[in-house]
Amino acid sequence: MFKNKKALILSVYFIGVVIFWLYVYFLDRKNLNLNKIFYFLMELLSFFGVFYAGLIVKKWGGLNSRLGKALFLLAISFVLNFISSMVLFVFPEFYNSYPIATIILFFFMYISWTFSGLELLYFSGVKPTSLKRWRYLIISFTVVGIIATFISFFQDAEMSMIILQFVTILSDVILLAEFLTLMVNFSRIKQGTLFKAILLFCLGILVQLIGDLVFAIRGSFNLLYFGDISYLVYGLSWFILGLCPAFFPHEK
Amino acid sequence: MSNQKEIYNKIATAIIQKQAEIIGSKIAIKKAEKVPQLVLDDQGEVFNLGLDPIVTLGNLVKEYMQLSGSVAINFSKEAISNILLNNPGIELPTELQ
Repeated sequence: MFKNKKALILSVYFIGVVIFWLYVYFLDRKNLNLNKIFYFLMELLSFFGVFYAGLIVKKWGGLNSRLGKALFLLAISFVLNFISSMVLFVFPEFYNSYPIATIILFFFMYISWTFSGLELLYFSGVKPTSLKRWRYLIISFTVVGIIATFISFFQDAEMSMIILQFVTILSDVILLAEFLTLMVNFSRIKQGTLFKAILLFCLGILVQLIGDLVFAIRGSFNLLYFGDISYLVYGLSWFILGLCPAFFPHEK
Repeated sequence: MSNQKEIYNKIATAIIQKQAEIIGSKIAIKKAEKVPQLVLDDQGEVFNLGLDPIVTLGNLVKEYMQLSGSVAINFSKEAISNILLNNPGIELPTELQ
C-alpha cells in the first residue's frame, strides 16, 4: 500500500494531526479555546480526505467509472462536512438564525456518502439490478425529503427541521444497510487489493453511525456540549474515512 | 481458426471495457498490458492473445482478480455473455466457465 511515497508522506502527516487532535481532546474538556482547536483539527481530517481523493480520482476513471464516482462522492461529502462544520463553528450566529441551512448541508453530506457506498457495493458482488433499486430508493426519499422540508419551511420552520432530521435518520438507516450488505458479501468472496480501502470505508460508516447514536442519546438526556464524546467519535470516523483513499492500491 | 481468434479477441476486449467502466480505463488498460502475450491499443481493444488465447484470457481475468477479488469473475462473465450467446461452443478458461 505504501509503495507510493506520496501516500506515505500524506498518511504520516495525517496521523500526526490525529495524535495532536487526540492530545488536545484529552487536555481539558472544559476549555472552550482548546475545544475550538480540537474542532479545527477535526476539520483538517476532512480536508485530507478531499485532498487525497481528489488526487487519485482521475487515475481511477473519474466520473466515467464506478470507483472514480465513489471517490468523487466521498470527496464531496468531505467538502460538505467541512463547510457545514465551519458554519457551525465560525458563524454560530448564522447557525442560530438559520439552523436549517447548516442541517441541510449535513443531510447532503449523508446523501453523497450513501451514493458513494452504493458504487462500492458493486465490488461486493451485488447485482446491478438491485443496485438500481437502491439508487431509486435513495433518490426518491431525498427528493421527497427536500420538497417536504422546503414546503414546510415557509409555514412552520420547526416542522421543516423535524422533517429534515427524520430524512437524515433515514439516510443513516440506508448507510447501515449498505454497511451490513458490504460486510456480509465480503465475507463470502475472495478479496483483492482494493479490499483494504473498502473495508476502511465500512469501518468509517460504522463509527459515524455510532457517533450519531451517541449524539442522539446524549442529546435526549441534555448531556450534549460542544466538544463532548460524540465529537470524538465523529472525528474518529473522519479519521478512518479520510485515510480510506490513501489505502487504494498503488498501480504503476 | 482465424475466426476463433477474432472471437477470443472480442472476449478479451469486452472484459477490458467492462473493467474500464468499473475501475477506470487507465488502470484497466495498465492491468491488461501486464498480461503476457496480450496485445492491445490505447483504447483497450485487443488484437492478439498469443499462441494460446485460452491461457491468456485466464491470465487477464486473474490480473483483475488481484485488484477486486473473485467479483472480477462476475464482471467478466457479465461482459462476455452476449458474445457467448452467439458462439455457444467456444472453449473458455476455467475462471470463465
